[in-house]
Amino acid sequence: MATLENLEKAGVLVGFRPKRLRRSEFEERQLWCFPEVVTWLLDELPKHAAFYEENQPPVLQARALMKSFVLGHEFVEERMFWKMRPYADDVFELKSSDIRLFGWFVRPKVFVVASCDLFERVHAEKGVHATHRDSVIEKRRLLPLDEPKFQIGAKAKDVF
Amino acid sequence: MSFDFELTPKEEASADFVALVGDKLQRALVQRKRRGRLTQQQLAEKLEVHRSRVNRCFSGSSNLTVATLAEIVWALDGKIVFDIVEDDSFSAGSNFHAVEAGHVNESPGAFQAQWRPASETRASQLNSSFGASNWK
Repeated sequence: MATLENLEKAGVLVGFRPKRLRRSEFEERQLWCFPEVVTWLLDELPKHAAFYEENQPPVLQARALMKSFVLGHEFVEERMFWKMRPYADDVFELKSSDIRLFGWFVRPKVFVVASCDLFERVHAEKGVHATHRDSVIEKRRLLPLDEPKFQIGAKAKDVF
Repeated sequence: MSFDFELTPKEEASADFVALVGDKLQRALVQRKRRGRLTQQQLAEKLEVHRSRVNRCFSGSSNLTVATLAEIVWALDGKIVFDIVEDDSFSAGSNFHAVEAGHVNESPGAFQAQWRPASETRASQLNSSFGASNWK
């Protein structure tokens, strides 16, 4: 068993840490990703255009969303604008218009992204959403992280 | 080993600003709705566009034209408080990662021209001045 930091050193998880922060900007939340998520974000996502052409490219959406999360920005608390959405089995979804990041909270303000996809695919294909949720649960189960691995029964306001 | 996206400072500035505008619009709309003064349908009718178009404008990712932004804010009975100031907040030592990555002098959004220093302006931060605080 290990801490998140130890898992990062072992290459099991990778922390997202935005560069070029302003003096007034500080990392107030942690966002960790599985290596395959990082590969998708850095190598695959830039190849995709936004579903609606007036939107920012998905890679820019992803960066802004993840940076906003890490800097501790307060998200709008309105269902139609949810950027962080809780699901069953303590799986949460961090989302922008075009991307979906699935993961869980190890503790408040510490989020691990285990699976990811484009909005287009998640909504167009039946069962994709459940597949991502199952993937998160399985990766969480297998991750050699110190217990408790995740927040049980937490609502969005409890963890971020 | 941590990571960040391989974006240019220009792209980062664009991403952050579009997200900021989206967030401000969403907050303004939520505030208006909670006060029972405006539904999205009413907003769409006022703007003479389909409701789906309004929804997309409020997605938080929409690269709105300045004219469209102005029309939406007008429809919300709001006004935009806007200013541009010199961005000198990326100097050496401002944060560990910038120093570590050698990006100290790559200042997204920083203007080299003779802009007024932030301290000399009423709206010293776009973050706070482009807000929904005018919804009375």
